[in-house]
Amino acid sequence: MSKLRSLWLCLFLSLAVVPLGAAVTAARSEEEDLFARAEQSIVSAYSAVRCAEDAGGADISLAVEGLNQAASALARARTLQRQGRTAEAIEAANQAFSLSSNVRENAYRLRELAMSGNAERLRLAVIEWATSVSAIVLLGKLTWGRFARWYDAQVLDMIVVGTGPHEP
Amino acid sequence: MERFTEFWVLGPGHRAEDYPFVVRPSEPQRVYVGIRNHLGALAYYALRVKLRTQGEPLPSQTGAEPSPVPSLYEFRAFVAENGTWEIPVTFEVFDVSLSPGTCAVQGLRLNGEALSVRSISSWDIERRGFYYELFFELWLYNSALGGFEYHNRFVGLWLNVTA
Repeated sequence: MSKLRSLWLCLFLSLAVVPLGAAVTAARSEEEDLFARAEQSIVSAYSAVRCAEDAGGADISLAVEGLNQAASALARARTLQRQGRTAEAIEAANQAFSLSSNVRENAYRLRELAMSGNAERLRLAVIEWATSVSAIVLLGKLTWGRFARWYDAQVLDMIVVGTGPHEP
Repeated sequence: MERFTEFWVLGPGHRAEDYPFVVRPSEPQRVYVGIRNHLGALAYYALRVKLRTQGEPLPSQTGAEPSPVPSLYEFRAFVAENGTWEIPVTFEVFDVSLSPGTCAVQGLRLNGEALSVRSISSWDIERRGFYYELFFELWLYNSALGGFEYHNRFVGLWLNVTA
């Protein structure tokens, strides 16, 4: 009788422990997924900031600060996880994810701003170049006209003055 | 223009002197580890902290291979072009057992976090001590690979662990 009771107790405990174990494993896997997503988000934000930097003229100092804050939050999350403080670890990982997502969004805007700034600078440079060329051509033409008139006058004067004394 | 990364470790006075050498269990020591980026663009670095005995290998500088000793801790940092990043590192050994001829370090506390080590050093007859090297390897994120790769740089400190 006592053996049967023990057997039932063992069976009950096994059935109780299996879902508990599965729940713990699922929670760990969920935690790992969250950490992997935060890590991926940081890498993606880094790529976005690099693109903004490559566009030229973008001030990325705030973005770099944001990336470092996200990396620190993720490092803190891992430390808390090692210490078994799961809830705080999840909160820190979520913070890393949110910080890096913000950085990524801002980096896209920075890139667009830098590119539109570059386009504007290019447009201004073309206008400046065209104005300079037009001014040079116009001034050249005017100067040439004046010179030609002056030269013609000089040549005509020379003919008149030169032929005078040899006339019979 | 040459592209490279400056990597340094400074003593507790923030100078290249008075580095910790003789360390006793649960006696905190401080150093500063820093990076300066001259790679021409924003860089994502990982700093891996390792502890080795004299018999364990260092990173190979010719083959650009990291040390096979497992990493105990990792710092991550984003450093802008011509930017500097520096971190104070406080460490102490704990759970140290000394017996004639051997010293076993079970734990290292790094910036307040207890890490499991389990490293055994033999008595060095010539230099008279149990020697460990705490070293920092520099890794760089490679977007093409989608991961970190060893940046062929490391700095280290020799420690003589005593009771």
